Amino acid sequence: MTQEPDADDDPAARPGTRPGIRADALCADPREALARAAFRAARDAGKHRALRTRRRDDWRPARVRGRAGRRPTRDGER
Amino acid sequence: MGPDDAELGSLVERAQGGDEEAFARAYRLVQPGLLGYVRGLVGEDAEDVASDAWLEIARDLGRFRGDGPGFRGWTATIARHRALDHLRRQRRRPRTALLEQDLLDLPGGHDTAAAALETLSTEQTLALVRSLPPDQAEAVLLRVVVGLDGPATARVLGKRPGAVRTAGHRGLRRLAGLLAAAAEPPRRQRDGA
Repeated sequence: MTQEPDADDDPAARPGTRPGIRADALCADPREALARAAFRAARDAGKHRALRTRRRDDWRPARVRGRAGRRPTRDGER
Repeated sequence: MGPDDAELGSLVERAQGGDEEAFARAYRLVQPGLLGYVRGLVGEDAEDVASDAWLEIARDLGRFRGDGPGFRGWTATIARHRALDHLRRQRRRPRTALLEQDLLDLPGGHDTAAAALETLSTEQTLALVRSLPPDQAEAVLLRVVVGLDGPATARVLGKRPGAVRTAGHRGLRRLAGLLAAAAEPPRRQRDGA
């Protein structure tokens, strides 16, 4: 399913936030600008801190993953 | 590890700490290979599919754990899922499955194909890779275009490393044959040069 950025989550779309020219306003690649907007939305909504690492997100070497142990996950991934 | 991988790992770490400029630089390092991989899977819709993948990558960045090469693998996995979703919606097979099987009967060569591919443009590379059977094409795309190592390629594909290694070797051998055939200029032209 296509993931669309949620305009409500984008602080740049809210009035009174981050005045001035943003870097992505000068970005020549509109798709990069979209990715940056999604990054800001997630960061400013606290998602980068709140979302837990699932097994499929852990790309550290196997020996490091093994040392870290199997942490419980919330997302139901087995 | 590729030349940009140490820098990429550092950029990702900074992006996870909230640095948007670092995220943008990581995007620019990863996007060309990722787009090439997606193009090999979905063809002309690749830019839209890769863009969807980046929205998910940007949202889930805090979940990721790993270094620069790990980030390439993680992003390739996300892009692959988006590409497969797209193909399911389109109800068609990957382009790699649609090409003339006759091309595959060309003689095999040596494992110099990876090096030779690096000298070709992305478009030329993808055109050649698309002529492979899908499992070989995808293994080669991940190894050569995205720059993953064997274990990372296997993880993205959800297959055993041995099977992926075999597919990759067969794919590169086929490509070596295709490259050799493509590189041989007509005798008359060569004499006239």
